[in-house]
Amino acid sequence: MQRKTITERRDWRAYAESVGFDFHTINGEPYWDESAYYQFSWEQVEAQLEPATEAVHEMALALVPEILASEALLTQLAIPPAFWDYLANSWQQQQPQLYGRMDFSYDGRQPPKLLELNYDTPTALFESGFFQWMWLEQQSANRQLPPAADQFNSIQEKLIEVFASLALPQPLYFTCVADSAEDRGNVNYLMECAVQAGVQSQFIGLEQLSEAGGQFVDVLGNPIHALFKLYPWEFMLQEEFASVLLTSHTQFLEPPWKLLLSNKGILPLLWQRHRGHPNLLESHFEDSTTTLPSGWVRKPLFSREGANIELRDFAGVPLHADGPYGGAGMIRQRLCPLPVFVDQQRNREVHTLIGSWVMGGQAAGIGIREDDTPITRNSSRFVPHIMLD
Amino acid sequence: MLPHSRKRSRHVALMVMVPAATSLLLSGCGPNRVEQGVVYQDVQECSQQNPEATALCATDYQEAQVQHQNVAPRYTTREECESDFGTERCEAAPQQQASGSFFMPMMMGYLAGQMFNRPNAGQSAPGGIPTQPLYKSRDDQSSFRTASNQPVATGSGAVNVRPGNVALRPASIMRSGGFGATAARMAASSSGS
Repeated sequence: MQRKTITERRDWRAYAESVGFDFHTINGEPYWDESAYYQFSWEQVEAQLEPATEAVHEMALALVPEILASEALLTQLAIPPAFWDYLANSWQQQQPQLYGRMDFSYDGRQPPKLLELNYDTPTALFESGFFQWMWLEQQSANRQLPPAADQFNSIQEKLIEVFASLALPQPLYFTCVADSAEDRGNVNYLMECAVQAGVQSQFIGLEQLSEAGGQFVDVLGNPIHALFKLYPWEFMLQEEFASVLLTSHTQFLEPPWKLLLSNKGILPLLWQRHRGHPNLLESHFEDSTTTLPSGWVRKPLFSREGANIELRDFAGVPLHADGPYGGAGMIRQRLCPLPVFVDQQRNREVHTLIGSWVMGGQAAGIGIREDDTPITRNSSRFVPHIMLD
Repeated sequence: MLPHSRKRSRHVALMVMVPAATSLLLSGCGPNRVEQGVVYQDVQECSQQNPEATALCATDYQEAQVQHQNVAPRYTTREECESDFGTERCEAAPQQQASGSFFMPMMMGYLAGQMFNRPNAGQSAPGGIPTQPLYKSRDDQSSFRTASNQPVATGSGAVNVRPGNVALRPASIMRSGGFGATAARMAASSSGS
């Protein structure tokens, strides 16, 4: 695993905008960053990242029925009791899932260590599945990359396959916070893949979802039989419209049971059942707000994009990321610092995180994020990668 | 050493997200039968254009008005209705069995289903599409839409429609609002992770 600098494609910004990637720069700071790329060996992908991803995915799925059968575990994960049966039914009916992304700390040598699962509303999908694929294609054509360069990225291909296999009622509606460019970009790409899979797709704003006779309907009363939502289940369950979930026959992507796997409480549960697994970090439910010991990270059960994370490095230096989450309990995870690389162009150190995608139970590819701090956030830069021996 | 099998998608393309390609994909085509109907703003427009068929114009318009009472989408408050159809574009819905008061959009035009099937010899033609009211949504004043939100025309005149798109469906009582309050409260730039 190496970080290499490369000449940027001359007109990539115009190209990005022409394909709807209008959040390539966020608040004046680069989000898509192609001044460099990461290079992995085939062995690193096929003997480390790929098997680690599929192993964690299997261990996580195996936890779902166990949690659903245990009031103690549901309580520990802060799942609202009014929705326990709703979640359990969605699992019993085998409502299918689409995708997920897990984040690893991986330096190319030691086994990848799971930091968290993003199994409800994973994003950075378009950048991973399409834009970095085109980057490799175009930089190979520009002779900036060797012809043998490949990429761990069959995301789009697998996503289309999964959409084609789902057998959901149609049209499949898609919803998200409509005025978030990033969320809308992710949803547009998902709709793109659904359409390519032959699924009739239609967008509806979150606030436009309506109810008639206990069923979700669109603004003019058409029933919504199937709905993809890029909006967290834990948000939905606490809002006024949540009561409609209990009466509507709408089938959701991701299905309600995925709420369990986007919960940070999954990390101590995985550790309890697979203590010492090479891809897991020691984790515990946090029953106090005592001072965090050196070499540990504290995270709320529900939080996103690095928010509300507290970290104390091995020297005891604390680092805290602000955010709006908290309240529902915390977990503590052993610190496995992200590998540090040198950004030679900007002459600074960067901390590198690997997001590994799962489509239909298979490892499908990776997207890499860089930050100037040890905590990866929404604003962390996305840097493409290649595979080359 | 054996060559590696490829680790990336064999081919990726965007069909919908690239604007130039959009119309090709969305226009589509299918086995569905297409029927002709005529859109009028009101009965006067129909009569002016069809002076020989004013009786049929009147019949169609009355039918559309009756269907308006049956199929117009219902809202529990005027504000919810106006947020979909625009200020001053909603009216009280006819009272149904003690289920409280509701609001619905005003009829902005109608689709005459039988104008092209006009019997010359006195017998009615087979097929055709149901005569029905049309509405205009607040965010798209240029389109006439059915009560089920199917855009059928951007102005008066003849239109081709698929009967499945203009089937009549009884109105239901709607509650609007949806989700999104948590994200709005957090002022998060993204709900993804």
